[in-house]
Amino acid sequence: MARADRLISIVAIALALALLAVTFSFPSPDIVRTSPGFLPRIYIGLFIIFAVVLFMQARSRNKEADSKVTFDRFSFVLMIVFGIYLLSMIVLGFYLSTLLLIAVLLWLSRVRAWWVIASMPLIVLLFVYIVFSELLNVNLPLGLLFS
Amino acid sequence: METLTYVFQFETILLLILGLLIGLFIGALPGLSSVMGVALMLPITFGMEPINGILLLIGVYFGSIYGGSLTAILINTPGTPASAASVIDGYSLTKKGLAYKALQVSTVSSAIGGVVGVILLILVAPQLAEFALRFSAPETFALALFGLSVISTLTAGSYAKGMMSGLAGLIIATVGLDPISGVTRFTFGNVQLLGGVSFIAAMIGLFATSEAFRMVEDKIRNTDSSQTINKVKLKWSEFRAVFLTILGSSGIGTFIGMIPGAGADIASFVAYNEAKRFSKNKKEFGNGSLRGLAAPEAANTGLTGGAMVPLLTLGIPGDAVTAVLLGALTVQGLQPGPQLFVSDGSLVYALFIGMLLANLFILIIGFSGIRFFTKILKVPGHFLMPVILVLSVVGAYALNNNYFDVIVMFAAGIGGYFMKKFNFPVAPLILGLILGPLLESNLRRSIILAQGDMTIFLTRPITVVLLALAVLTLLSPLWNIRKKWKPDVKGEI
Repeated sequence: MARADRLISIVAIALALALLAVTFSFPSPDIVRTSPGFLPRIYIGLFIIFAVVLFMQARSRNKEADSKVTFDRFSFVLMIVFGIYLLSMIVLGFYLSTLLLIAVLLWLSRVRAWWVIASMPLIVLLFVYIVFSELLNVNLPLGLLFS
Repeated sequence: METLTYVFQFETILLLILGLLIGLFIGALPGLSSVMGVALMLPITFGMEPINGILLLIGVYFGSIYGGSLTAILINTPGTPASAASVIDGYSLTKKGLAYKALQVSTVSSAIGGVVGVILLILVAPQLAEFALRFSAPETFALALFGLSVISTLTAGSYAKGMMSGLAGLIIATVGLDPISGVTRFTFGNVQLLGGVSFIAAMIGLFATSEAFRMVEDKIRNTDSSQTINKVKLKWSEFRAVFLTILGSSGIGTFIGMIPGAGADIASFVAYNEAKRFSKNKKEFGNGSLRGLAAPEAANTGLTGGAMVPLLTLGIPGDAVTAVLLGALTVQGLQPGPQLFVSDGSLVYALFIGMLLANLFILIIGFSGIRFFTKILKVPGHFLMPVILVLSVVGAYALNNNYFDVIVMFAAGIGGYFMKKFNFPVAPLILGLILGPLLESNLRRSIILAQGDMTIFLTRPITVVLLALAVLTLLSPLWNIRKKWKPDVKGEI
C-alpha cells in the first residue's frame, strides 16, 4: 500500500498542478469581486498539501507492517464488458444491449442453466419497461437501430 | 373535531398509505428522488379533495426518504442523496450480519425523527420561520462549511486520504458555469459539462456500480456476496442508548430543513458528525455504530417537518420537493403564508395530523416489512450484480434523460472501485460534490454583499458560531493524531 500511496500522491500532485494551470486561463470579469478561479485554486492548493502529506507518510511507513492491495482480473473484465455495453447502447438501444449484458454477465459468473440465462434478462427488462418507461415516462435510448 | 373528520376517513388514510408505499418504492430505486416521486404524483392529485391530494404527496415525500435508506443499508446503494450518510454505518452493520437490527434502528429513528419534526412544526413554526429568515448568504456559507467539516470525521483511518477525497469532490463541483460570473470552468470544450457533474449520477457510480464490480471478486473467491442474516433484534437497552442521539439529530434535521437550499443530504451528514462528536466511543463510528445509523436517519426525516415551516408560514419553498408541494397547495386553492392558518386552519391542522400519521405508518410498514426487505441479502451476488448495474444505468439516465449522466456514473463507478481498493473513503467526495456549489455561491455572494470586507463573517452571530464549529470539527482529528502519532509504526494521519 505504501508504494501505491506514493504513486497515487505523485499522480495526484501532477494532475492538480495541471488543473491549477488551467485556472489561470479563466477570464475574470471586472464586475465580480472574486475571480472564477478563486475557490478552485484554494481547493487545488489544499489538495496538493494533503497529497504531499500522504507521500511523506507513505515514505515513512514500516514496510513489514504494510498491507498489499490485490485485484481480481474478473473485475477488470466486468468493467470492460460494462463499457462495451454502454457503447453498444448507442447503436442497439437500451433494451437489446441490456438483454445481451445480463446474459453475458450470468454466463461469465458460471451460470450455465439456459433457462436462467434466458429468463432473467426478460424479467429485469419487463420490470424496467413497466416502472420506468410506462409509469415514470423515462424515454430510455432506443439506439440508432430502432429509432 | 372538523380537523379529525378531515383526516380519519377511509379514503384519506388509504391514500396516505398508498403514497408511503409508492414513495418507499421510488426512494429505494437509485436515481429516483423524492422530487421526482412527488412531481410525478402531482397531476393525479388535481381532481382530489385538498387534504387527500396533499396527504398523498406527503406520503410519497416521507416514504421516499425512508425507502432510500433500505437499499443504502442492505446493498450499499443509497436510493436518494438523503441516505448517503446512512451507508457508512448501515452497510457495516449488514456486513456483520446485523441487517435486521440496522433496519429496525432505521425505521424507529425515521419515525421518531419525523414525529419530532412535525411537533416542532406545530409548536414553534412562526418563531422558527422568523429565525430561518435571518439566514442570508454568510450564514448559508457558514452552514455549508460546517457541513463540509464532517469530512474530517469520515476519514476512516487516514486523515490525508479523507481530505483529498473531499477536496476532489469540491474541485469536481466547480466544473461547469461559474455561479457568479457565468464563465466556463474545467469543461475543456465539452458542452455536456456546462451544467456541471451530476452528483446523483456520481453517487450511483461511487456506491452502487463500484459495489457491483466488487461483488464479482467475491464470486471468484467463492465468498458470494449473499449475506448471512442474524435475526438479532434491537434491544430495549440499545434503543435507550441511541434515543438521545435520535432526538438531537431530529432537531438538527428540523433546523436545517427550514433553511432554503440546505437539503436532507446535508442534514444527515451534519447529524452524523454531531453524533460522533458527542459519542464516548468514536471508534465505533464507521464500523457499524447504531448511533452512526440512527443520527442520519432521524435527521433526514426530521428535515421533512422543518422544510414545511417556511412553506406553510411564509409561502417560501426551501427545496425542490416543497416547491412542488407549494404548487399542489396552490392548485387546491390554498395560499401558503401567515394567513393560511387563519383562513384554512382546520385543513392545516388536518395536514399536521396526517404528517404524524404518516410517521406512524412508516413505523408499521417498516417493522412489518423488515423480514421481506432483508430477503434481498439472500439473493446470490451473481444475480444481484447485473440488476444493480442495470438499475444504475436506468437511474443515472432517468435524472435528465441524458446519456452523459450514464458516462458520469460509469466513470464514478471505476473511480469508486479504485478508491475503495486504496482505502480512500468515498463519502467525503460525495459531500464535497453536494456542498461545493452551495458553499461557493454563498461565499462569493457574501463577499459581494460586503463589498470585499471579509469581516462580514465575524460580525454576524450565527455565522460566527457555525464557523467556529466548523473549524473545531476540522481540527479535532489533528489533535488526536498529535497525541498518538508514531511515524515508524503507522505513519498515517
